Amino acid sequence: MTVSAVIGPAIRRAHVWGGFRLWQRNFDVSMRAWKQELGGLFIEPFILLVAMGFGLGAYVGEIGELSYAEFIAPGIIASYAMFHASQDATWGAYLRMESHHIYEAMLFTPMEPADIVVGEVMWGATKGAVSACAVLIAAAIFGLIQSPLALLTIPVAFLIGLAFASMSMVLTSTAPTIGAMSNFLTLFILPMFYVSGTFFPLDNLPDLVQKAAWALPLTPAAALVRGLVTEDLSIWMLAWTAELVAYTVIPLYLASYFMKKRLIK
Amino acid sequence: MRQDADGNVSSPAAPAIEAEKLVKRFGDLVAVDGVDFEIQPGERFGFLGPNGAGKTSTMKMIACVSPVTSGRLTVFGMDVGSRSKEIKARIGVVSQSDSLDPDLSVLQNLMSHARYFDLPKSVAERRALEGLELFQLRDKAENRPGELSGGMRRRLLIVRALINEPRMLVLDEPTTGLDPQARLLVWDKLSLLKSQGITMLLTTHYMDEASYLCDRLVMMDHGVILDQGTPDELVRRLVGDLVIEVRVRHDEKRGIMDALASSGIEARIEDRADSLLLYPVNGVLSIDDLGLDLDRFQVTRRHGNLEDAFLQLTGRGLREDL
Repeated sequence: MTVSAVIGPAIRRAHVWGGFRLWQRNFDVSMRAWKQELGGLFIEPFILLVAMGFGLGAYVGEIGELSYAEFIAPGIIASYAMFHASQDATWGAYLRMESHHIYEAMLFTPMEPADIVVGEVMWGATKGAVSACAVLIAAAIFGLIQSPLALLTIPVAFLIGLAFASMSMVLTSTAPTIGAMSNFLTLFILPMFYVSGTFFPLDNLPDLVQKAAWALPLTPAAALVRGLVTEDLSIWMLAWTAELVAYTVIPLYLASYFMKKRLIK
Repeated sequence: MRQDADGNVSSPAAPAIEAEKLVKRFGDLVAVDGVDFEIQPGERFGFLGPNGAGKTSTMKMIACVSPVTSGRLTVFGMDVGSRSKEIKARIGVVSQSDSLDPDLSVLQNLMSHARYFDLPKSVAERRALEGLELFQLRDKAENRPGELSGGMRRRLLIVRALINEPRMLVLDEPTTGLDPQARLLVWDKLSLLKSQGITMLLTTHYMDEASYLCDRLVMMDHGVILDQGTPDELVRRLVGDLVIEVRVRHDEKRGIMDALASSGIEARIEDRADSLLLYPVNGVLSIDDLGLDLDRFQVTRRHGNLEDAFLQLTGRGLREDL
């Protein structure tokens, strides 16, 4: 029995293979339009780093041993992975489902609802990782990245993307209208952007708020990226990774369940 | 985990589809109310009925995208509940809604659909190009679906449904919304497929489409099957050979009907929109017997058709959208 004989069926059972088929479709679409998307992808993190890191940073001084720009660069990497994965798995997936009937066509093939959910999550994670790369390049150009360990932020960004795309798919699979998406983004994703150790350390916040922040997925995400970029490794990184894995797996099951209920009537 | 095209099928002689006391309920609404039918391999089978008759619900259960509420439904001898993946690999579906991918080219639409069946790229490309050629879309391969006409989009949906070389093609209202010329082209292509031996299943509310395309059909209304047979059989049994149609203005209708009724002719008279239809009871009736002023009224003798048969069964004209 070869390794592939074991792995092949396992991948199919986990809907990764079917998911890959949807991933390929999204990739094809993206390849047709990448020129339009590229500008926004690279220019936005540049502006954010200049404005916050160097503009605001000039008044803030150092945080620990890091300049303010060095402190926020990892936070922005993690946040971009979050934003891009979430946007695609909410607006993007909802449009594919409801306006373009892409899922309906897939269900007439051996594809199953769980394949669709896994595929969208893999795609959201890919977009998260690509956007993290863009920030990484921008930060490197400004001299904010020293350690080669920073390259590991790319798979970490993929994991961050998996978590946020999974949570987004729970919403997409249950949303009655596309309007429900904006609440998720403005009431959940955007606030997290500000209070997850991205722009300032959490140390000065009340104890309860700190605990709450660590329970939310962006805080361990930002901490993981910062630990790698600044070579400040700790055993906690395993716990943070586990937290992101949990934020991936549990919503994935929920979204698959809801998607089946939504599509198969 | 791949099976060959005929792997696991119970027997080659099994009916393409077998439905027994098939029921589909959505909450309190009974969409399909205990229907029985059997479709043989190679047959072109039609579900004819107005909107809301339960045709699409039946079709969706066959395509394994809608669970059966109760009863039994098998496709190629396989149960739709437990073996949906195998069934889906062997059928092609053209749904009512336009589910073409607007963000991909025509060729990419076919290629990505082929990937869902795990077809190798080279096979997919060959079939896609052959299909586009056959359905007269070859020069549109690089266009987006949005740039195609309604008739072209419908043909592309059929090409897409054929990409896995299905043993059965399921078409839900394949020509609804098309202009007459586009319809004829679709009919022509579907006839070509029939000659290749593919089993074909279609729903329609066009009577002419049903009589042109179907070897056999069932007439449905309110979730039940009213009658079934070949188009000719149904017409002969329900209507007879001869129909006389009298075009008449609305305000004159009453008077003409009374005149005809008292003339002693042996015919059933039916009131339909802008005309009166006469169905001779013993099959013979001459226009002259009617005693009508033929200069004032347009009177035609014609053969009975499925529309007559359907209205005969349901009593009234076709329903508006429900």
